[in-house]
Amino acid sequence: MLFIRRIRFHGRGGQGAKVASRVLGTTAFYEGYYAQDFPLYGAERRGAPITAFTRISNEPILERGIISEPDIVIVIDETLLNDPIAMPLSGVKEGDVVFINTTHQPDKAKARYKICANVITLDLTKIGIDMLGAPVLSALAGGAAARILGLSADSLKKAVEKEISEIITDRALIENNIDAALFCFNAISPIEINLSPHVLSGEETTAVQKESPVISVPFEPALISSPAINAKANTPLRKTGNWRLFKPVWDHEKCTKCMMCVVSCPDGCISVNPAGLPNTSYDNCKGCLICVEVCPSEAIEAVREVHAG
Amino acid sequence: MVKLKDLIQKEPIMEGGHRMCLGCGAPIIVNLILRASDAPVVLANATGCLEVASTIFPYTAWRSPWIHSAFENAAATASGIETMYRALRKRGKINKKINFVAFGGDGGTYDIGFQSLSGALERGHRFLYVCYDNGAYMNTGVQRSSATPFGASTTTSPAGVVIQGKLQKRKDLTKIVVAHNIPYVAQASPHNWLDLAKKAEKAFSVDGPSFLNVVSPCPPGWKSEAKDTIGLSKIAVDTCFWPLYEVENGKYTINYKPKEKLPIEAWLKPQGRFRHLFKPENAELLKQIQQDIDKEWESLQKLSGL
Repeated sequence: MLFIRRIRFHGRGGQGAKVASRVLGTTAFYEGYYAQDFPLYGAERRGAPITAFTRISNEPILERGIISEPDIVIVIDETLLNDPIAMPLSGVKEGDVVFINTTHQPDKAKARYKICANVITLDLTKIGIDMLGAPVLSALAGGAAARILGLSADSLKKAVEKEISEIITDRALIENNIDAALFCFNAISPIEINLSPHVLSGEETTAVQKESPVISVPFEPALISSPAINAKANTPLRKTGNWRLFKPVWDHEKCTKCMMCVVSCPDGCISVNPAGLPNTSYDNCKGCLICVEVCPSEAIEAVREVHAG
Repeated sequence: MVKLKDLIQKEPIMEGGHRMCLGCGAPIIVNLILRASDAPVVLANATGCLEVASTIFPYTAWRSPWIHSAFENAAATASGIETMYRALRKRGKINKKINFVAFGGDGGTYDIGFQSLSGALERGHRFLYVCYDNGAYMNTGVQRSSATPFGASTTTSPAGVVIQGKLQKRKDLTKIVVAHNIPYVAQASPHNWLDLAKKAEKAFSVDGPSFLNVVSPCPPGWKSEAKDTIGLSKIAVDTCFWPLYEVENGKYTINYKPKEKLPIEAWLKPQGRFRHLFKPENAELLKQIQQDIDKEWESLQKLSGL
């Protein structure tokens, strides 16, 4: 009988969504499945929303293109759930599985984000910081996804080893990635996925494929291909504040008004209030923490951003 | 004379919400330079990170008129704008001073835009060209450029069994620009805001072309921490990898001499792109890098009459 699973990963550039999709594909491959994985991102960079896809099947996979109706969605960055462009929950149906990297319990996350599917949660960011020293979550998200799909720990271990050593050479860090992947693997229970009947039949799969063309490239007039933007500095409308993992918080008692933070901010979002004290606009602060580093009087503290409440 | 107090009163010309990476050096440089301008600015931008990530349609991060045409012609675009300005001024249609600035990364300046830059400098347009040098084609995924330092691992000079990073030395673009005999050329770094702002002020004051080459840490390309951007540019200067100097009408001046010149390892160590150089078998390469830097620092001191 045909077995096919479609998994969609949502993360931000640099977090490891693309590699997570590879880790999962390779794990399934070692397990004897056919696998396919690929990322999708535009002319944006570290911090910008990206999507990656994995398909696994017991038969050669003829489907191509982006997955608009996933069985499993892995949300590596919780803030994307409110992003009108990333839309991680699009195409999610009852019976699917949504994994979220969050500090919330599953039922709370389910209610908060109004998710109809099964919800699994785990604080990957904390595990990443604790075990790897950085919130690079590729192996961790791959491990969680492998467990949800019911793949084996052995295959996961081999897959993380293979994929991570293609990126880094530091042996200790590779070992830590394997440990962290297994930690996430063991932290959640596998789950039964009740697929809708049409997904299970081969012919219907082809029909789905016909309905969603891979990429359509429409003709564009010159005005669109070389556009003019008749606006003044409107990027602040695109809130980049949800890229943050840590936020800078000022202790104005300690501030000497040296203004090093103001001139060193890459996002131009630190300004001075009427009392001459600096403050940042959290709408657009990406949390690079340069201000924390340059402050000579240690008046700025980095505080982990959590989306509780 | 620039004052920090005055600079920060001005709104940043490049606003937040742009999609440059976490901890990118380029917007820090751009905003410092533009805040030091004594007049409104019109900007030209070569293709690169700064262009792509600041103007994702239908958004723009720029508070001033800004034009992107292609990778290779930021300087030519700025020349055209400045020529039009002169024509309008002659006809009495514009009376105020406007400053013209072209931005390019090292790819768009050292390599692809070099010909148009050289042409614009030779024709003597009154404009400032700023190169934010992050040492590779970071926008397309870290390919080596002629500004990539010797020994750096990039996707097209990957360190492995066969080679130990880039085999060639960097092009000394600042000195090549000096050879055009333009009124003002300088090298600067974002960690030293006063030096950078002063240089921008001088550049805006000359009647002719001026050029600023500014080191711009790139966390994904250098494999460094986002928060270390300012720290790393300081170390670049303290190791004399990136000396701060200016050339006014052919006269060299070193603006900052480190009290104690740090060994180059201090700059290489925090960057993942140089990690392989610290293997025992590569000790010779490290020595060679240090020797090259010492030699260049010495020659620069001679040029400045020390």
